[in-house]
Amino acid sequence: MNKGNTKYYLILPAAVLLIGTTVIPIFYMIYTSLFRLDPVVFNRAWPFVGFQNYIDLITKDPMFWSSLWRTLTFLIYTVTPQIIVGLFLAVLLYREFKGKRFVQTILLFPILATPIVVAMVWKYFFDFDTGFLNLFLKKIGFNPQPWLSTRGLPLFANIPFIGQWLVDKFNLTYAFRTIAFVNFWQWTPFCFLVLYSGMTSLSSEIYEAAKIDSASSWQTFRYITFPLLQRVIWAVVFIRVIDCLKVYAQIWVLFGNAEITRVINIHLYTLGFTTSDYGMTSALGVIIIMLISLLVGITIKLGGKKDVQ
Amino acid sequence: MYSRARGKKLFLKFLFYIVITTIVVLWAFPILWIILSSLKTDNQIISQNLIFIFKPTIANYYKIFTSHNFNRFLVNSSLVALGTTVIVFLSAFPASYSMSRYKTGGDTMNLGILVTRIAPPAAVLMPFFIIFRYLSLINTLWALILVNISLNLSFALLLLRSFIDEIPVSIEEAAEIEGASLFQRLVLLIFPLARSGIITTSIFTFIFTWNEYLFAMVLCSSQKVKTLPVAAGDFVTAYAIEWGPVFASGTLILLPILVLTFFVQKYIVKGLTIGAVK
Amino acid sequence: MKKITSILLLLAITSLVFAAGSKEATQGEEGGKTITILCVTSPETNALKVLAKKFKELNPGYDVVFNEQGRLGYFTNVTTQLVGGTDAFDLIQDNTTYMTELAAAGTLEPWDKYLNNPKLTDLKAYDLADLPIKLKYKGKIYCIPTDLSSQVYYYRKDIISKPADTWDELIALAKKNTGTAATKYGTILTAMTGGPEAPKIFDVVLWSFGGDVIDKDGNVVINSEATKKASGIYRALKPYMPEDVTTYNYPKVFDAMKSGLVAQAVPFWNAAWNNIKLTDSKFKDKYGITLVPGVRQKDGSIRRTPQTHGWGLVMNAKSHNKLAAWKFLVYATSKEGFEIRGKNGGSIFRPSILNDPKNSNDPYFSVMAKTYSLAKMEPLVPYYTKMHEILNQMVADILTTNKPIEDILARTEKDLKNLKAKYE
Repeated sequence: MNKGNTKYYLILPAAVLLIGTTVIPIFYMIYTSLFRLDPVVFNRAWPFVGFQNYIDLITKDPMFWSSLWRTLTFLIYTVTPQIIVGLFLAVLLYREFKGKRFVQTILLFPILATPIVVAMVWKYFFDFDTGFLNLFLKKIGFNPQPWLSTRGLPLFANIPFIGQWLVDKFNLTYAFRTIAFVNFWQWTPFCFLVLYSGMTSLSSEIYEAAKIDSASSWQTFRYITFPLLQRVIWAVVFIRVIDCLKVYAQIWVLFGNAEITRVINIHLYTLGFTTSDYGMTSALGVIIIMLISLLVGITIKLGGKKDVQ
Repeated sequence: MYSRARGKKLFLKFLFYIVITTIVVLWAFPILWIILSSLKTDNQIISQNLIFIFKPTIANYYKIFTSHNFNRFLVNSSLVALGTTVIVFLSAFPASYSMSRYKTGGDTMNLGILVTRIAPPAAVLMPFFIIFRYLSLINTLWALILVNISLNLSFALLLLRSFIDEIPVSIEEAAEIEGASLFQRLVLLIFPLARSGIITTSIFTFIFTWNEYLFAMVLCSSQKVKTLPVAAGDFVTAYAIEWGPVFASGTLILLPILVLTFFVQKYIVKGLTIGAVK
Repeated sequence: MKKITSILLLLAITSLVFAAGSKEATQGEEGGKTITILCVTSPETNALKVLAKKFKELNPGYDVVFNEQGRLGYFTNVTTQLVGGTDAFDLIQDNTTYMTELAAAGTLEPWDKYLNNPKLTDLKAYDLADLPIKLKYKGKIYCIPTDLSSQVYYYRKDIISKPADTWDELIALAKKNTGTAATKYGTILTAMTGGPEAPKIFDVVLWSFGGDVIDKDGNVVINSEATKKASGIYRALKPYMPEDVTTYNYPKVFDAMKSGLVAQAVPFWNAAWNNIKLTDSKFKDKYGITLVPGVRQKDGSIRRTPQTHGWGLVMNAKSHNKLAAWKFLVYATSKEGFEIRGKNGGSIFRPSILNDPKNSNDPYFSVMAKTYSLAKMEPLVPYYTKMHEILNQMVADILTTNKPIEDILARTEKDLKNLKAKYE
């Protein structure tokens, strides 16, 4: 076996599998995005429409821009608290204490739990009349909350004059908060884990030095941990943004494709599955890939690191 | 003065454990509630009162194993998850070695792998169906194995590569001088050294495959080849959600993951974080 | 060069293996005796299973295999299977409203040649005239439903002595029974966005005011006085329904009935009548059933306009066992088939059975006979699912926002016209 070819032989099985199971379907998707394609024409000659699907999506689809904007608000409402709480947990659990391993294991579980099962359970939890949360609230003397309703959150809706406008524009509704919470529950532990191992990889000498200088724990965090962790934080943001754009089961099981919670990926599922418009679905799929690539570019630029994966 | 400082310390410790308890309750409770509810009757589940203490029943489990073919679904899910894991490992291990040592494919390869990771699965469902129909693989477990390879291989490649990157080249050079062939080096040297990476990758592939729902629903809808998540979804019937069996099957699906998490927590943590920290 | 050749060789070998596999599996005949059915988990399917057992007794050598699937994603699966050209299923259970699109796609086998072949069908015993609903596309029959869904009016007999005849009376009753000791909500209807039910329920109100979504000539007529009135009824009912009413689909409304949360459920599906009797709910015998309310006309009569759609089995055009499948189809929709299924959770809509005097002690039969005679189907257009998507949006806007009705209807009209233009 000559050495020049060895590396190709080694990679061959994986390459064949990748090409067969991933590259071909993706090229097929790009190809179909250029046709008018729905069940009616599927088994006949497909009418070629060029970029019409893309143009229709951008100019005519009433839900495209609104769901894109909603996705942006969703990203902000989910990723921000996840990073903040994740960071808080990482700092909190950095010290040694009894039961640490147990807490870590508990936190690991939401990430790996079967999405469809978890989503069904949340549906049950949030039910207004028989759901666990409201029954619990009632038991301890609070009013039940309409978790799944489209009502505006009172905190914002009660602001005079602009309240309703704020609610409509920025999706400040119970339903939207609920999906943000479900996402928070499932993915904050992930942010914690990554940030935590980021912290453990920092040299402990730095902390020793800080201790000698009698820096307070806040100072240690503000001037040592946080700056050193920045690269890791950006990496987490990056991964979370991609995964948030792909969120599916949580929203679909709780709200179907209701407009109030329709982020871009749910819109894609609607086009593909509810209305079986395969051409449009492919076009939106391509647009989503391009958007993610753009976001990736921005994140890498902001994070100042080239080889984030 | 001394006692006050001590009091403050005790108070902080108290506060710390309160926070920790809150965290554990918030994240463990929903899971616990699934398991608890699986032992209730339907009426207890949709009762308008909180029921913590009740006489447990295994009726839900009995139902899913007798009137629904859950032993078969369990076997199917395991076969698909194991098959995928083995194939992903066998193809990803040499490939990631090649990528790590010879930089095969370079940045183009990395970028390509990244794109495959972000492609929305819903958009490629129809292509998969058509390809598999052409190959007569619809309603066979092979279809699911292939799809899950597609969903996991790129991630496995990236993960394994970063583990192999960590193994110093010098060790290998020494072995090469002693006349070890490539195959020998891979099996006898790299394999044990990259053990934790291989375990991590395999666990991930296994769990993600175990959890997969969308493709399994469409590509394998016949009873013979149905997998567990799809079977759990079946209790959302046309007219009602049968909560008892939903929770029982949910518990059944989550249990292996729960067990795996407890036993191999170390590896999973490493796998989840390596991509981001490296 | 060498490496490219070896890659090509490998690809060729793998494709050969696959090709060999595919040839073997696609071989088959028209005359197999095992019928494979794709169906959704439901009481109707349970009834079909009982029927299949009888069918196998009557026809030794035949076998019926059911592949049941949950409601979650079922229609996605049906469309993907049929359009993708599956031959794994001979019969597929589907909602009649989705069949036109599938028939237009050429994925369904028309029934006519089997119906009109005396060797295959005894038309006299089958009695086509006794089957008022047939799903046709371009003059061919694609399905005769096994079950027919329509809306009726459920009310708690112990609370409401006289059910409403008109929508205004319904609003008054709903108001009176909201937040009382007996019931929390005055009334409920299915309005879940993202499901197939909300637009159909809205039709029941809309049609009673004389309005429609698309008229007979195919014009979009949603932006009308009638729609405004119907929307007004929805908004007037809103305070007496659960706040998250847009998450209520059949199961949730059914659960609310079971747990005694609601005083009335209207318009709601006829299937609930038999289904609630099968549960151990405390309230299962407390519900009365009657016709949906309507609009009082000048002559004093009331215009009631229930909507209907069917559940039925369609034959896969790619099936290898068409003759056997046909045998089962005929049996399932025959008089005997209806009687067997009706006793086991299926719905009956053959007038000859509904009007049979021996069934007169159950109010269900007379209410359903009347309901089916009044009921209309939605326009079965090939862009049905996309139209539904727009109407779902409209209902959600009416119920969950304070937007002026005029704006909502203007947007709906525009979207529907765009959609229609795309298909002409």
